[in-house]
Parts: sequence; C-alpha cells; structure tokens
Amino acid sequence: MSTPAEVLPDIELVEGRSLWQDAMRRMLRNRAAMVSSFLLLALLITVTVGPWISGYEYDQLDWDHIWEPPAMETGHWLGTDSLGRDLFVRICQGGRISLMVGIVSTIVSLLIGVSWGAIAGYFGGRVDAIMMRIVDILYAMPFLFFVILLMVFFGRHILLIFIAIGMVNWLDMARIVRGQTLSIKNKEFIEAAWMAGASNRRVIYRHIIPNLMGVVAVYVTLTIPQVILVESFLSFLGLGVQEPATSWGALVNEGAQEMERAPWLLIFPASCLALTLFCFNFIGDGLRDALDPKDR
Amino acid sequence: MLAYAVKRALGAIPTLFILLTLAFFLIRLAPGGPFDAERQLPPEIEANLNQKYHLDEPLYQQYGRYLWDIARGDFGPSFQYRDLTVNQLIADGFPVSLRLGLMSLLFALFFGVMLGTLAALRQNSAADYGLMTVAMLGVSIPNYVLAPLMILVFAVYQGWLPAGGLGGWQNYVMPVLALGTAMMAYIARLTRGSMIEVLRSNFIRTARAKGLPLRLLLFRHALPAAMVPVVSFLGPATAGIITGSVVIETIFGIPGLGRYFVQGALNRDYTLVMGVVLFYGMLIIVFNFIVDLLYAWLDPRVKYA
Repeated sequence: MSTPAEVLPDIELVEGRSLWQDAMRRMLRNRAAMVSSFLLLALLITVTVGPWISGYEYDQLDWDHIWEPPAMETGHWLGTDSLGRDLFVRICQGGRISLMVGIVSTIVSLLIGVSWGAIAGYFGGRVDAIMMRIVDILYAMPFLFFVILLMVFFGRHILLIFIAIGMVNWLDMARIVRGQTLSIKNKEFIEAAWMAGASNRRVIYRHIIPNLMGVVAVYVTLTIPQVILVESFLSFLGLGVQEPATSWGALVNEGAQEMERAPWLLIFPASCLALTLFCFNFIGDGLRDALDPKDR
Repeated sequence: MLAYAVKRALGAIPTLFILLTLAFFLIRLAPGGPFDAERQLPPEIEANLNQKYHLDEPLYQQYGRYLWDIARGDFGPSFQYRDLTVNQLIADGFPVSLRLGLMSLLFALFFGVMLGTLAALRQNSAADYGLMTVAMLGVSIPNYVLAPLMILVFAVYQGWLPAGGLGGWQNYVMPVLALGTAMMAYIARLTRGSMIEVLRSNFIRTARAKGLPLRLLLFRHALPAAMVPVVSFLGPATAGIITGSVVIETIFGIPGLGRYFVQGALNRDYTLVMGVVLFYGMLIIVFNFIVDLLYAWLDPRVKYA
C-alpha cells in the first residue's frame, strides 16, 4: 500500500504557460513569419558586413568601371552606377540608413505614443477627453505634407528625419495603447488582483503593462516598415538622405532615372526595399496572430 | 442628420484653423524666401516685389491678412506662376488629380473586395494562401517603386503604354495601377478577414438554412456586413492616395495638384503650398464625413452622435 507521497512524484505537474510562452510557440509554428525573420536576419547581416567583404567604399569612384552591369570578375557584384560606385556596397550603406531610420523613428513614436495613450487611458475623464481630442485634430492633418515642408524649409538633416517621421507615427500608437489600457483596466483579473491585495504598482507592472506589450510589439513591427516607407518616400523626392550617403529610397530614385540604360540600378534596390517591407509585414502579422489567438 | 452635418462642419473649423496656423508659421519661420532662387535681383526690385506681396509687413499682420483672405475663399496670388492665382491653379490641377484618385480608389475597391471575398470563400486553400501572399507583396511594394518598374516593363521594353503625360485612357493605366495596387491589396486582406468572420455568424447560417443561393447570400447579406472595416479604412486610404499622388504625378508627369505641391515647396511658393495643404485638409475632412455617413448606413448599430 503506497502512500500518496509515493505516488505523487510520478504525476507530472502541469506547468502554467505564460502569455509569452504561448505566443512563442504559435510564432514558431508560423512558417511565413519564421522564413521572414530568417530572411530579415540574413539581410541585416549582409548589410552590416557586406561593405567589409566587398572591399569597396560606398563613395569610392571607379572610373574604369562606370555603368557596369552585375559581374563577378570586377568585384562589382551588383554592377556600378554612373560614377562607377559599387551598387552592392551602396545598397548595404543605404540599407543601414533605412533600417536605422526605421528603428529609431519607431522608438520615437513608441515613446510618445505609449506614454500619451497610457496616461489618457489610465486617468480617464477630462484628461482623456482633452488628450484624445488633440489626437483627433492631428489625425485630420495631411502630415506627410508637413514632413515635406519641414525637410524643404529646414534643411535635410538626418536627425530631423528621425524626429519628423516619429512625430507622424505616434498617433496610431497613442490610440491603440489608450484603448487597450481602458479595456484592461476594467478586466476581472485586475479586479481579482486588487482583491488579492496587490498594490497599485504591482497591478500596473504585473498586469497592465505585460498585457499592453503584446499590442505594442505587434504595432512596432508594423510601424517599422511604414517608417522605412516614409523615409524612402522622402529620399525618393530628393528630400531625405543626401549624397554621397544614400538610402534605399534615394537609390530607387536614382535607378528610376537611369532605368533604360542600367535597369539593375533600379531592380536591386527596389527588391531589397520590397523584401524588407514584405518580411516586416509578415512578422507583424505572425506576431498579431500569436499574441491575439482569437481565430483559433 | 442635418444637425449632425452642421455639427461636423463646425467641428472642422478648429482643425482647419490649426492646420492653417501650423503650416503658415512653419513656412514663414524657415530661412529663405520665394525670390531667393532667382538671379540676384536689384534691391529696389526686391523691395518692390516684397511690397507687392506684403512680405515686408510684420508676420502677424501677414497672418491676419491671410486669414481674412482665406475666410473669403481667396487663396492669393502664386509667387511662382506670376500671372495665376492659387485658386486658378487648384481649379486647373484638381480635376486631373481627382480623376486619377477616384479611378485608383474604384479599382482598389472593386478588385480588393472581389479577391478578398474569393479568398474568404476558399479559406485555407492553396488559392487563399496564394492570393494572400500576393496581397502581402502588393502591400509591401511602395507606389514609387512600382511605378518606375512598370514604366520599365510596359513602356521601355514592351512599348505598350505611354510612359507619361496626359492623353487617352492609355495614359491612365499605369498611374492608376501604381496608385491603387497597395490599397487594393490592403482591402483584399481586410475583406478576407471580416468576410471569414461574417460567414461564420448566425444570420448567415440562417440564410443558408433557408436555402438562399450563394449569389444572394453574398451580395445581400454577407457583403454589407463585411464591408464595415473596409469603409472605415477609406478615410486613411484617401489620405494615402493624396500623398501618393504627389509622387505618382511627378513620375508620370501628370499636371495635377500633387505635382504643384512639390514644385511649390521647392520654389518656396508660400501661397501655393499653403493653398494646396489647406485644400487637401478640407478634402480629407469632407471625405471622412462621407465615410462616417456610409458607415452608419452599412451598420445600423452606428448612430449619428
């Protein structure tokens, strides 16, 4: 006759799974998102170490090889432009700038948007009404026009690009975070936490913020491609990054002007840009499905 | 209904006022002026020009003058196109932009809804995955990348379509595709998502149980309900078309409002830039209003508040 204590060790304890473990599991099963992550990582590594392997500089002129189509022998793997600059290295350099703008500007909009939305949602009442009215008014503004004006009239500094683009994108973030805070505040598990005697601080850190993070993470992955898009839009109009530095938008613009003569100048940067946006969108989608499994 | 419309119109006034004020001071506080780009003008002539356009007055006075002009619907003279007023330029350029924008919007709506519905009806089939991957690709390719690629293939290599300018319908094919594709892809994704949800709902099951043919089921019952998120996307979509038209009109050399804006900004044509920004601001507000009306019409639970 065995005592319960002898039986118990054989029973496997069911371990609780956190939201993030669950999400991780679902994310790993999402093939499109995993392939996209892998591609993006590969792109990131290429962009980082590419110039170093190639041996050319992004602003190095090679007068013996102008308008060269892609060729392995000369070391200009993706060809050269009208000044003999190596396209591969320029794509890497442009990619660094595009990705950096994407990430930094997203952080700017993240900081503004999350604090704005969380404050409005948490305090509610008149504070909420006023703050959200401001967001509504700003929403109706043709913002990109403002960014264009900023760039035209105040010079084309890269810091200005970061700030201008970040300022544009925080509105959505603020709205989403506010809505989420409002609904989380009224959930039963918050009430339960209160009942269990959790402090204000504990409720915020253990219950509200972790539940916000899912939405924010999804939104961040979806904002980065938007920001890259805006930056390349500005660069395409000639208002973004200035020569000899470059970005994918600027490269597409140059390529578009020379496409009859040197189609590779258009095709390669355009593909890189589209591929990056494609991957970010798929990852964002995958994250959303992973963190918000209502369709299952 | 009328009360609602009036309320919305009144609500738009502070928005436009803030828009005007921000744009005005942003432009005026920047270094440089509209007559800098030209050859060095003799000081007397420059002073005359400044006086003619009231640029020599203090800023607040210019601001007051501009507000007063706008209140009477006068956007002022253009600095760049000396013989024309901004009103004339907008009257010139807007019909072209409007035609292009509306065609792109209709193209995106029609094909987006159609493809989204098809994908939803065959959920999780190969066709569904294929369509949605293509849609994702469509969302990811910016219009200013698509436009030169299309010119390269259809105009330069194949010679099927003209590369730019305005003329017959052929001139509109590529701009409309360039401007509408991303939106079409997005609408297809939205439609698929909401259609899947709607097709699972009780009233569709009831309709099915009654033996309604698929065509009626789709068009009379499912589509109106599934269109709600698509309609609320139309607001941002319009804003997207407007900003997109700035590039597309520049690439294809279409003499619309978007191209005036870029040229105006580069030439520091204060009044033209202000005029276009204000005009587009109003347009977005009007369009959002129409969208809200549509929304209430599609979804009876929404009431005019």
